[in-house]
Amino acid sequence: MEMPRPDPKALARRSELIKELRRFLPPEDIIADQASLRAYECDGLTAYKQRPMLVALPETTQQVSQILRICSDLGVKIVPRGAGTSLSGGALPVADGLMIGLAKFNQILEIDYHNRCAVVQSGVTNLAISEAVRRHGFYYAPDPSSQIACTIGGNVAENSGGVHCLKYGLTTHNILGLECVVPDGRVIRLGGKALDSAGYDLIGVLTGSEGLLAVITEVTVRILPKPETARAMLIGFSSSEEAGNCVASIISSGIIPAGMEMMDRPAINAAEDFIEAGYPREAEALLIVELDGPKIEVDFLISRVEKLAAAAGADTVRISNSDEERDMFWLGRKSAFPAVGRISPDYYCMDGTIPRKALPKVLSAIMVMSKKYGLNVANVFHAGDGNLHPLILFDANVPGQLEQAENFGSEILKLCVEVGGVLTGEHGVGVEKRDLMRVMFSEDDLKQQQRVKCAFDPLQLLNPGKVFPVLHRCAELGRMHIHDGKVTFPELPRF
Amino acid sequence: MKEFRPNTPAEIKTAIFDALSRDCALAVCGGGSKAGLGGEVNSDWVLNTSNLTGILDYEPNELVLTARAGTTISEIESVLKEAGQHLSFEPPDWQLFLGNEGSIQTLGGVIASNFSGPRRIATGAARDFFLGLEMVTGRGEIIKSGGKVVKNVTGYDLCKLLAGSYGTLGILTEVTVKCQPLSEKVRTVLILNLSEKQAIEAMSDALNSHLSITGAAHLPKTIAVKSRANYVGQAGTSITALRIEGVEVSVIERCKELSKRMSVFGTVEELHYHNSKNLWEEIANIYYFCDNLEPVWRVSIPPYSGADFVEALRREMNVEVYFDWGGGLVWVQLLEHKEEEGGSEMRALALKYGGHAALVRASNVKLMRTPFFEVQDPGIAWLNQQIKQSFDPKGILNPGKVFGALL
Repeated sequence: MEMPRPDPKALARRSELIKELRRFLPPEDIIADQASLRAYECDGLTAYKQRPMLVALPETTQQVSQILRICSDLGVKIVPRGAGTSLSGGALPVADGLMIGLAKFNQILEIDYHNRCAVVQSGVTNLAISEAVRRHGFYYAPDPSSQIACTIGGNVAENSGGVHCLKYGLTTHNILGLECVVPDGRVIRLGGKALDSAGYDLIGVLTGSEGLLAVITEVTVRILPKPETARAMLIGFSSSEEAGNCVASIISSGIIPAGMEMMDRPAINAAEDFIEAGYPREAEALLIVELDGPKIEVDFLISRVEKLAAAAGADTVRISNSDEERDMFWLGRKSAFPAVGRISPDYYCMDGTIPRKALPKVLSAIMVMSKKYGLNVANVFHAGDGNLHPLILFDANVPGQLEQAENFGSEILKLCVEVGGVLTGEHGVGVEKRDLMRVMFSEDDLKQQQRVKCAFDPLQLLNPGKVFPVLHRCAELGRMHIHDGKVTFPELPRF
Repeated sequence: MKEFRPNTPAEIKTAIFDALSRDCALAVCGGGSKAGLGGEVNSDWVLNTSNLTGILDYEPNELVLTARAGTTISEIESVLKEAGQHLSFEPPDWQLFLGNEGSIQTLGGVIASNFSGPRRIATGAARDFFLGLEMVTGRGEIIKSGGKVVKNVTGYDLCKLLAGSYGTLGILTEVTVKCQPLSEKVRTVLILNLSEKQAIEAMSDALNSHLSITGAAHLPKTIAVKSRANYVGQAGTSITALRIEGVEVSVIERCKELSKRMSVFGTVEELHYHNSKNLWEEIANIYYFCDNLEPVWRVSIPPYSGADFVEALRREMNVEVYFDWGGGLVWVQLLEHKEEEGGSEMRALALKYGGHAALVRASNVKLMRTPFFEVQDPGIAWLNQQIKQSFDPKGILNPGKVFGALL
């Protein structure tokens, strides 16, 4: 993975930049010594490391604005970072860039139950929002598995999902307002507590823009009343086809479960070894189906799903009878990554989405690839929405295995696109899938996306080296190839 | 006026190249159901997408439908209905309201205007169900964005920019939307004779409960009397309506609980299937302001501020209103108006209460002086212009439409 070559001019301005930052940032908010900078050298995608030139930890939007203006003036690149939990290298630093850490933006500014929203600074963690509103019976719906650590600003940047997004949507469906700073230092406040606003949907395009368009400083999120009850089911099958058919029949019967997860045998057993959640070890595929809502509805739907599972050939069905039992059902799934981490020195988590009907084909192709690359794989799958997480097991200390794992991963993602799916369902492109973007998009598709980048960041200073395989200069992208009648089009239909 | 009806994206591309080389603007339209909305485009050339029809792919089990942009909403809805699904954002039908009877509502038009009905408060707006697109930009490039699966974060979400862009960024040729199962049962709980302030309290209380309300509207007495839904029109009082959907056992149970909960606010009644359906269609389609063609504003505001906003508005002008989205969507008809359609006062008040106002029906489209909406913040205005520039640098697509002087 090649990152943009460091700009010697930017590196030479390091001390000038420190001097400028000291004018308005206290010394402890500027991290410049190499030992402390090490803490920022990678995010959740630990295969890639790069120490940043400097880290700034502003506390106010005003300071973020000043930092961005100075960086723009000096031509210094900027990489924003929330909690650094990105699995795609979204917060990977650049050697000649300043990293803006948003850890100090940790205040919940307002909770407005009447309008069912909360206004929070971007460094507040996802879980902290739900906890702050819990005693009033509310929660914030998107629940990425890193929710204890990941920040809401990072969630917006990555458009994070979670196990409940089949029913409750991704981050983009759950935010109403943003305050952000664009690279020239302008502070922009978008939306608010109303359900829409005038003009183009800038909140929509900023969500999932992976920190390439603006630095997010404040988010207004929707909060929802907590469902009265939730119950989960563990359904074991002797093949992934049967499990897949069961998922399809649940959806086509008109039921949208709160969550619907699938694990394959290696994942089931890794989780069981680790947690002892009571998963059926002999099953080839396990479904966890959660239904939430009014008690009477949940009980009714549980019995419906039970019948559908039996019809689909389920070997085992367990239904939770208490919240503790439900938590236990989930614990195995939620611990799947660390569980796999126990049985292998390293693992590489992929994140493609496929049309669910393609699941048997994709799973059997993954098994063939597993043999070809000589690496084992465990699969966890957000079965309801088709988001597949193959965990490729490898040992980084064995020369060549990381590369093999990456090649294996690329081949899986290419297959996802081939069967009508996409490269990433929730982890983002980042640096990880940057060079695969051409598998899914044409040159013209990517150019238009980059023009949107240029609309916000004409100097292309924000989060460089991410998302786009080739960077074109904004002036070049903006050029039109047709000039007032000078070019002729022989095939033109005349109106 | 010359109209061109392309059959393929490639033909749109050549039409755009033609427009670019002649330096002339294109008025983009579909089935004409929203003609006049947001002003008229000053152009002799109309590009009509009505020939781009057909459902390309529909997999009920995947909850995904892909169709060409000119496919009619009625075709899509009937195909979805057969599989027990629907477009959950309830695309409203404004033909009657805009005086465009006999026109056709297309999928592209619904998405390009980001219109959503009462269920927006619960399940989201059109933009939330818009998964993927193919389009031709104002540069004449055929591009795609998003995907045909329900969960995808690959690349920028250009769908969001296109939803509500009213044909000013590009011409949609193919649209992929997320579909949802139809509810088995629909019922509406009515509370009679509440003041606007009481209604906001009642709707807020209901929406904040765990009863999963999928519609919350308030019709003052003068509006309710126009309803054709049995009981609502004859009640002789204001009507506050709360919708409950789902499986039968749950709907019955929740209606019971909601009725009990709402009885502290006033007398409670229940509406069943057909009447309930009619009522919510009226609310979505602005039926109550279809008996004349006077100016109407759409004000989007924090739901809990709905009544306060209207109270302040009434101090400045003579209006008729009703509320949707728990108070967050206020439909305002001006009973007397000047040339500017009350624009400056309306926008200032909406802004003061944390929202914005759009002029959805002007007294005279051809002489329309008040833009559809205004973006007052200079930073946001700049970003809107930058976005427009990136898709349509020569400004050939729908100039003057909706965005007025902004672009």
